Amino acid sequence: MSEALAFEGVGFAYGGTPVLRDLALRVEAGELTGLLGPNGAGKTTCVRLAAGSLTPQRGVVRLFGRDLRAYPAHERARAVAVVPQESPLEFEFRVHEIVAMGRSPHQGLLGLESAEDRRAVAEALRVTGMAEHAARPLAALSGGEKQRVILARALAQHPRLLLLDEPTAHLDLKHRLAIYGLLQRLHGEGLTTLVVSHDLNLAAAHCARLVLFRCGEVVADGPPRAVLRREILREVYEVDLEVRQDGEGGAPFVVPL
Amino acid sequence: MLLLSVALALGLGNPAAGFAELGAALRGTLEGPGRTILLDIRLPRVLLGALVGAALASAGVAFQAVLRNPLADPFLLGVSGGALLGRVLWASLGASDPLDPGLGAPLAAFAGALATLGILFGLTRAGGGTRSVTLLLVGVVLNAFFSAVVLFLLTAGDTSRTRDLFFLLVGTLPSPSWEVLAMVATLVVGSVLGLALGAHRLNLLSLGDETAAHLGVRVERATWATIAVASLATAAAVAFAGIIGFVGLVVPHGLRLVLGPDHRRLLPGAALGGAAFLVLADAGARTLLQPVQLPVGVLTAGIGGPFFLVLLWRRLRGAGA
Repeated sequence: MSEALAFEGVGFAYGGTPVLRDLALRVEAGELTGLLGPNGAGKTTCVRLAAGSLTPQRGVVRLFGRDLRAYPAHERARAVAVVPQESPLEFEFRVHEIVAMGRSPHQGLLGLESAEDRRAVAEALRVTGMAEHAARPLAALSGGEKQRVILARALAQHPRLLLLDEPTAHLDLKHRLAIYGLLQRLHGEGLTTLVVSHDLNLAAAHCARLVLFRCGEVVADGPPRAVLRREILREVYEVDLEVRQDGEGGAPFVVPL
Repeated sequence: MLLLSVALALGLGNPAAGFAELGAALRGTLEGPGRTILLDIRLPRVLLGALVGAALASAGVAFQAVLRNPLADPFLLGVSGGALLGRVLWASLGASDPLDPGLGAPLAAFAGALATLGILFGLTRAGGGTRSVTLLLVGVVLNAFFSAVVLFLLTAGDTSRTRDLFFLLVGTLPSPSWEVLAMVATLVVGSVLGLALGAHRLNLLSLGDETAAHLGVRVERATWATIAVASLATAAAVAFAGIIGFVGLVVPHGLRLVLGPDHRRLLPGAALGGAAFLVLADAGARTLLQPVQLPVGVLTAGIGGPFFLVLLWRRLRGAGA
């Protein structure tokens, strides 16, 4: 396996408050990894560091074997795409216009669209099931549909690494399942994906690897069964809970008590 | 549309020129005082109006994109006021002819506009986003302050140098010389072309700094380049026509309803639309209350003020704030 993303001795603090201390994490190409942990544990900071929105104050973030700081903006945007929690929009762009903006890092100085760009946009709309909504204004869509459009834009970037920061935080169950189902299909096609989630059960059901954060440190890392254990979760989340499992191969699921 | 409004604006006025005279002027066979009025007085004014309208409307679009605020306008942000202050300071230092064709006046106005944007960004971006109400509040205060300083310079300063500049405060289109027109045209056409060529980047910037960066934009650089070019357009307009408000608000807003928000269409559309809008507004200002000639700034503020209030009202109601 080859390395997609690596944090080595990464430290980061907002103001004087340390968020990550000496983080070491390695994501292999092709993995679908869930980042878990309570609020303020450093998951989002992790994503923003990997996206290049933040620069580590200590240590190094490596993307496909190369220091992230060495990437020019265009090249970085061809390597990594981000789906944030929410995407507020001030102007009434239409769905296909939003998705087409994902092609920007593949375009030249003048942003002219090629046939390849149009193909990529059509494909991203198809994969996310948004093709029939292409001409609608984004503002007219539901929260779940909007998030699929933002995911389509990220896919149109043709990234090698996809980062999602709680993409389903504001969505109902049906749309959560739809997003995670999509992530699993993309995983099947070999896309390396890192998804931050507050939903332990959804993450456990869809990700082969979970990483649990607490106060800027990784406290557990491995397959869902190794990470979602009662004694670990009780300590990290500070609530009483139970972990159940259906059958031998099933994913564990967590029930607060 | 633009050509039509230029023709209409040329015809309107005292005395009015008919199609026959316009046709004769086009063929170069017009003679006498009609020729002087039409070609030497009215035509330069109409052309300046077109350039100023194009500059203000495209600057409005650019500011709206980088500030992510559809209410931004060179006048409302205080940028025009800052440009005027730079312009008047320059005049009080020496260059007294208000229609001097040198580059000094527009460059001084450019410096004033840039300084204003520096203040505006420093104040509103320090706290994270650019909240529209904060932004407008800062703009209002800057405007009040700048016009106080300008009035001070115009009344208490060396008035022999500045008395001819009063018309700039209300926004009036003079009849410039061809040299001035050529310079304004170079500055405005250059900046509008610059903005239009970067229009796809305005789309990305309008999504927010972080998203734009994720999509490969060097945000700092692109933002400041946009601001500098939009300020140059504003400065060229303000240096010779003074403060004409709301063009950058009304025209982009109307065109967004027709062309959509994609800046690759909106920006050239706003340049042409702004030109047509101001040419017609000036024709209206010249003729509505004949023989009195209103300053065009009075007319645009008369249209733009209520328009702005309606937009703000709908926005605040929509946000539930």
